[in-house]
This record gives sequence, structure tokens and C-alpha cells, in this order.
Amino acid sequence: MKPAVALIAVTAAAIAMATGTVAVGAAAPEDMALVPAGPPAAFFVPGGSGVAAAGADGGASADVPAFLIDRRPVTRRQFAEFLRRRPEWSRSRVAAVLADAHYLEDWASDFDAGARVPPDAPVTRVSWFAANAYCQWRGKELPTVDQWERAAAGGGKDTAATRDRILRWYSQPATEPLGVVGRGAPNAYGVYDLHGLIWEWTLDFNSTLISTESRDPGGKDDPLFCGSGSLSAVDPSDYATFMRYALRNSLRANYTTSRLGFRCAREPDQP
Amino acid sequence: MGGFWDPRAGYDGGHNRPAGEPAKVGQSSHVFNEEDGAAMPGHRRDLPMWIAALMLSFAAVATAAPDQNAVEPTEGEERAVLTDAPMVPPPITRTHATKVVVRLEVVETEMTIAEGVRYTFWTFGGKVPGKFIRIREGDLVEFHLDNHPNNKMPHNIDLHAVTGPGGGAASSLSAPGHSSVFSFKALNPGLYVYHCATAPVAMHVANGMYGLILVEPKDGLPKVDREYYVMQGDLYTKGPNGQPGLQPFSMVKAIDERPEYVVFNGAVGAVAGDKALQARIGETVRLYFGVGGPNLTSSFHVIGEIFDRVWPEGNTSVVSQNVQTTMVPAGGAAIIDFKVEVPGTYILVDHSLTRAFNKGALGMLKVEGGDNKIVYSGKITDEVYQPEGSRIRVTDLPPQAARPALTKKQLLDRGRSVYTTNCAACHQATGHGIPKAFPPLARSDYLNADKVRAIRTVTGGLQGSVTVNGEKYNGVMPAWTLSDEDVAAVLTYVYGSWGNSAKEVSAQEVKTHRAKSSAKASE
Amino acid sequence: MTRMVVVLAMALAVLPGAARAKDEPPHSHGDHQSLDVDRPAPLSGSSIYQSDREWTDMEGQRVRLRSLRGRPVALAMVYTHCTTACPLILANLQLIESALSPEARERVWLVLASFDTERDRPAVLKKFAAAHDLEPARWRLFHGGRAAVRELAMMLGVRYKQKAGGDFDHSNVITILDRDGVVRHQQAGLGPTPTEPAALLERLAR
Repeated sequence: MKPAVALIAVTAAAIAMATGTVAVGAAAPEDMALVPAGPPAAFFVPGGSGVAAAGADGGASADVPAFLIDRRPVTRRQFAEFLRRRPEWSRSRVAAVLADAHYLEDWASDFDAGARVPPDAPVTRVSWFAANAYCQWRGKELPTVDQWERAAAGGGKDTAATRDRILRWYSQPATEPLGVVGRGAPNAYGVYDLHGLIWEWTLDFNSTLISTESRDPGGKDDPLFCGSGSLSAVDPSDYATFMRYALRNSLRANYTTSRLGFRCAREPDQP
Repeated sequence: MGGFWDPRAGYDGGHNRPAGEPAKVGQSSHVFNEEDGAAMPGHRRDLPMWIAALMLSFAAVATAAPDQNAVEPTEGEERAVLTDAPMVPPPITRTHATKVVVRLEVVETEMTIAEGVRYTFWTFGGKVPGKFIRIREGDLVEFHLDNHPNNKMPHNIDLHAVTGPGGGAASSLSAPGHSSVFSFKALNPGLYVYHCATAPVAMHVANGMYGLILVEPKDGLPKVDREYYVMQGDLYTKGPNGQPGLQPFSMVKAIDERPEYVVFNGAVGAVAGDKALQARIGETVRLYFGVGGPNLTSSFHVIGEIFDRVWPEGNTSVVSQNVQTTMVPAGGAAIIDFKVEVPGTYILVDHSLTRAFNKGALGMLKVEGGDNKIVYSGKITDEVYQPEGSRIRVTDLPPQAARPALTKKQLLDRGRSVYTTNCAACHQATGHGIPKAFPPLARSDYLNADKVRAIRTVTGGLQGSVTVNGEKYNGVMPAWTLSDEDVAAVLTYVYGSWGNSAKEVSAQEVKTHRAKSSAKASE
Repeated sequence: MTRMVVVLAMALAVLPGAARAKDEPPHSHGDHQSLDVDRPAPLSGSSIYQSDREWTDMEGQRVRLRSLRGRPVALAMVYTHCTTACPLILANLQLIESALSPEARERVWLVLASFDTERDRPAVLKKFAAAHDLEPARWRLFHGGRAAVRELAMMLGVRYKQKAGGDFDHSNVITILDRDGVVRHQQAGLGPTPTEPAALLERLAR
């Protein structure tokens, strides 16, 4: 009797670990990079009559605590595995309020990403809800805008070259084939593909309270937003970053687009 | 279904919409499929629009026209006819305001700026400039902005014809694969620019996201024989003017306002050669001319023509007459009428001249005479057409009456004019030419050594390899059909400029030494 | 002892599933088999009642959003410490309420969901409702955890950001839901008087 019981116990624990509900190990996992604590890479700051923005202190106050972030975006292969465990997120079963009609549109079937796009290419055509569900399934969360921008600033090196690279990516049509993740050089934090591959979901993309009337300096009497103040861009010549905020602003949580994917993040393990 | 929701609305053609549910004023968005462009949800009824219009029409009204237009009820509904430049939709004939449905699709696509030079444009409707929209004062426009699923960027639209927040920009931001719908009433007549207003706006506009919307006044505009749509824009490429390949956008140059190209209708030569505008003598031609920018103001001029009427700044009430050059600001427009009397090719330029001859702000209007078809000599070939400008070939010269000889000063002035029109495109206004392409004329050993050879070269053309000031050039210079006086004038001018030998050339010498056939470099 | 181990092992097998349920991302119930003929029809794929998140109402009851099912809803996200726009949002909802016919008024919900997880606990919400004379028969005030607040804002397209100091910047949106939780209209901004949402709510309540 006892050995059978022990077997049940072991199996249960194994299941628990395999489904990501139990943290494994205490060191930073190989597929995640540590971004140390530091000031947010604020793009909008209070004051000034500059470009459109409303809302907050622009995140210019507190430091962003240290965090772990996936080195690479989530791939189609990884997302396929998630769908096998969570079939309610397959495209024929998901509710419209959680993912629009283009969700996983380029997959061969509900659970098969197909071979036309490499399995190690980033998964795209996923909504915020689906991305959020995946990250939670892995015991993580989507990175916040502050975390993502901090990771993407890569310690502030080579900003001109990075901007050029981003603008070049903006110049390429979205119909070109999607490359695999992890090609090219990582940034100073060891993170790949933050620029030039895909747009990425963030946990609070809906925190950029910019009027879609991008040229409106906003102000306290802007009826669209509560508590708004006018903000300026730190660097109005940073077209690359402006575009990223504009994209976030155009999204709703159930939207999917052919070049929008995601990666996950979490708190560092306690020593 | 209205409001923000119904994510599947576009996907199944709106059939899951409850019957009778009207379209809403204000933003609504849904998934945009390629099929959406074809299928118009025809059962959409604008019930609340009627109610609103009726309610409003009972309100006390002021006599100012825009206020009247705001309350004028609309009858019926139609789908707007949209055209690509240089064509314009037909004039409005109805005499009442109506509801007009406009569907504009944003397409990001690679196109040619100039020979060998490609650029990824962001377009309203697949071309630059965007589609021409033509409506009437008082119309209620239901505007659909569709962002094609193959696009990468978010886009919206600001129409200068709209009275309302952002000109529509506040209600139309669309992610790729999604659409936005909003409505506005055309309160003021005029010719208005529209453009994308997503930050960074200058980049979206520089990439081609601009067009014109004409709000005809109630009584329409005076009738003309031909109407054309031309729009100027400045382009900022990473590589210098002429560098081939796919060119990315240069943010630095855009901020410094240093365009590499300034073009009409989206590319060098888009309104020239076989794409020139056409007219016949005796016709009145109307140009709906706009400037998308993003930065430059245009000094718009048609060489050889005087504008009989200009409605400056796109207004439709106040006319200027007999205008030579009209100033059109970035984000502005003008309506220009003139009657063509003499056959020939008329050159449209931005009279800030280096834009015309070095950067591409040059177009053509070919006017044919009577029943005689003008046959252009085969030497007008597009493969020799240069990005910086064009040779102007006047094949039908007015008969030259005998004239008293020109003074030196007159000769030089005339020479300068001929030079600017014909030669500067290649040899440049400074006479420096273009390294490896067009030899310099300034302090040119080849030029200064032999006057007769110079005459032969201008009148007969030149092919093959030449060495000028130690550099080899192997191009083609076409023969010029110019009068003896003009050749004499331009050569005198050239010899008298830039440190050259100050030789003078007379019309008689030109007549004597005019080339019989195309000169070879070896001569 | 053996029995205890068996129980423990079974508990171990079950617990992870139970723990996950709290964070269970919303999923479609549309294809659940209905065993009981008196059960309501499956939810539309566009209904926000797909959400499984738990909220607490001002009476302290745990509820899911789908407890609102059956009546059309006028809903806004606010927080009680907000002194600028939220009073106006509330005033707009009250205008909608008074614009309804007495019959329709009995058949709707007017819902405030708070951004403020920390401070707008159910007791605070109850005091707020009393202070503003909000009729409990039709006014529901909800307190939610961060994940619930985020999910609802995401479903409604509401933008918000918590500032240092605990206040929120947020967009001003009033949403009208039909009886099955499908968004039928949204009014952004405070400018226009809410005649359209009121008219729609009236129609939906019939």
C-alpha cells in the first residue's frame, strides 16, 4: 500500500512542477536576463507644452526594481506547447472578447503552427489576454512598460545606432518573412530582439494616456483623461520611441497583428 | 452595433449586428479584413443621424454659412468616388447635401522615388499622394480608415476640412488589421489637405501620408475643360540624392529640413514624360495643387503660363488674377485655372529652383494643338531622364522674325535663362557638373579649347568618352533644338562664367558650324 | 497513517489545480454543455462576463461580473479619492438614471468598479454610496484585486496608471452593456450629455 501512495505523491509533485506552479531552482534561469534596479527610461516627463501626452508623473519618480526578463521573445514552438496544455486558448475556442478574428491566423490548425514560418520565430497574432495567460502559465507576467523600456534602453549605449536600426525596421514592410529569435547581438543586459523584430505586449500598455490626437498638448482640462497634466517628450527627435508609444496607444487588449508578439518577466529569485 | 466593440463585425460582414442598429458618431473599431473593402454593409441606417439632424434643424441658426451647414439636413447616401493623382473625381452635380461614405485604406508599400532609388512609403490608398476626395459643402461624411493587416505601423488621419478634435485624428487611430469609423459635417467649402497625424507626424507625412479633399461650394466652381491633381512633398532619405537601393528615412535630415528629394505626386518624373498632364489648345485647365510637406512651402509656377485665376490657400470665394507664381504653404493648397493657347510642353516647378532642377520638383503639361498631332522627336527618351530635372524640348518654335542684334548684357541674360532651363539639370547651376556623370563647364579645358567644337556639341549632341580637367566621362549628351540666337546666348553665358575664357559666340557662327549629325567624341 | 498519506497525496494532486484557479485566465464558456434545461444560454464570445475574476460588492459579497447578467448595465471605472473627473462620471451616470422611465429604472444595473484596490474596500464603497444617495436596488459598487481591475480595464479599453501617492490617472469612459454583458456603446470623455447612452439603456431594458 505504501509504495503506491508514495507513487501518487511523487506523480502529483511532478505534475505540479511541470505545469510551472512550483518554482524550480533559485538561480536566474539561463533563458532570462537580470536587469538591475535603476531609473525608468522615461520618455515623457511632466511640464512643457511639448507633444501630446496626458497622465501621471510620466513614471519619472521611483526606480524600477531589479527584474528578470526573457532573453528572447516567446516562439511559436513554445506557444504551441501552451495551447496543448490550455486548449481553451486555441483559435477555434477562444472568445472574441479575448482575441480578435486574426488570432493565430497563420497557423496550420488549432495546435499546429505549421512549417511556413520557422517554429523558432516569435509567435505573433496573439492578443494581450493570450500573452498574459501564457506568461502566467509559466509562473511569470508580461513586463510592464517601465520594465520593457528599461531593458530596451540597454544601459543607454549606442542610442543613435539603435534608433537608426529601429527606423530601418520601420521602413521595411511587414510582409517580409519573420526571422527566428536570438539572431544578432544581445544588448548590454544580454537581451535579444527588443528592436527590429516585432512589437511586444506589455502588462500595462494601457497606461500610456496619450490622446490619439498626437499633436494636442493636453492639459488639465482635457476631458478625455482624469488627472492629466501636459507632458513633453524627453527627446522629441526620438521618432523611434514615439512610434512605439503610438503603437501601444492604438491597441486594445484583444487585438492581434502580424508583427506583435511578447516575452515574459518576473521578479528575481530571492537568494 | 456601434461603439468600440463587436470585434467580429468586419469579419462576417456585420451580419451579427442587431437589425436596425445604427452607425454611431464617434469612434468605433473592428477587425478589418481585405474583404471589407469590397463589401459595404448596405443595411446600415443612420437613424440617430436623422434624429440628430432633425433636432438640430429646429435650433435657432445664425446666418453664417458654416453654422447653416451644421444644421442642414442631408438626403440620401452615396459612396465617394476616390481617384489617384493626377485624376480628379467628376464635379458634383447634386444640389443638396447628402451622406457620403468614404473608405480609405492605409497601405505600406515599397515604391520608386527615382531611377534605381526605392523607398517604403506609407500611403492612403496605395499611392502618393493619397486619394482625392470630392464632396459638397454641408455633406455628412462617414469616414472609414482601414489599416491593412500587412502593415506594421499604427495610423490615423487629420482632414483639414473637419471641424472637430484633431480633424478626426482623435477618433481614427488604427492598429494594423483594424479600422476606425468617425463622422463629420463639411461646414466650410475649400480645398483641404489631409494627412496622417500619428506621432511622429513628420515621419508619417514624409513617408507619403497626405492627400487632398475638395469641399465644393454649394454653387460649385466655374466649369473648366480639364482638372488635375498635383501634390508636392519633401523626402528625406539616408543616402544622398540619386543613391540607388532601398533608402531608409533619415530623421536627422527631416529635423534639419534638408530634403534629398522634392517631388510632385510622390516620385521624380511622376508628372512628366509619358505621365505628363495633357490638354489641347483653347482648353481651360484647373490644377488642384497641394503641398503635403512635411516641411517645405512651394513657390508654384508653370513655366510659359500665367495663371488666369488663383484661389489662394484653397479658399473658394476670393480670386486673384494673372498670377505668375503662387505660394502654397506646407499643409496648404491652391486652386489654379489657366487657359492654354500655345501648344508645347509647359513645365510645372517649385520656383525655389534647386528643388526643381536638383531634387525633382518638376512636372509637365503637354498641350497639343488643333488637329495636328505634335510628334515628339525620338530623342526624348526616359532613360536619359535625370532625377535632378529635365531637358525641355520645345519642338514647335514660334517663327523667328528678324531682330536687331542683342547687346552683350541681353545676350548674357538670355544665355543664363537658356542655361537654367536646359543645361543646369546636368551641368548644375554652378557649372560644376556631377562627378563621374556630367562634366563640369567651369574652367573646363575641353570647353575652353575649342569654340567650334562647343557649338557642334550643343547642337549635335555628344557620345563616347571625353576627358575634362583630367577626369573621364562617358555619358550621352543629347542634341538641343535651340535657335541660333539661343545657342549663341547660352555659349556666351557659359564662356563668360565661372572663370572660363570669356569668348563670345554669335548667332552667325552657330549657323555656320551647326552640327549636321550627332558629333562623336573623337572629333 | 496510510490513510492520511493517501489523503495528503490526493490533496497534493488537487491543490496545484485549486491554487491556479484564482489566477485562471478567462476562457470561453461558450462550449460548455448545458445539462440543465433551465440554465441560461451560453455567453456570447463578445461578452465581458467570460471573465472568472472575483470582485467584492459593497455588501461584502463575493461576486463575479456575470452576476450582473439579466439586466442591461451602465458601467464606469472610478475611485473614491478622485476629485476631478470621477464626480462628473458619477453625475453622468446619475443623469442617465434619471433620464430612464420608472419601469426601465427598475430593470437596470448602474455599476461603479474601483481602480483603487488598496483604499476602496467594500466598507468605503458602502459609505460612498450612502453619501451619494445611490439606490442599492440598482447601484452596484465593486472592489477588486489588481488582476481583476486590470482585466476589466483591458476588456473595456479603459486606460489607467497608478501614480506614486496612490492616485490614478485614467480615461473617462461610460460603458453600456446589454443583458448578456456585450458592450453596446461607449462614451469617452465628459463633454457630451449622455443622451445616447440613456436612450440605449432604455431600449435594452424593455
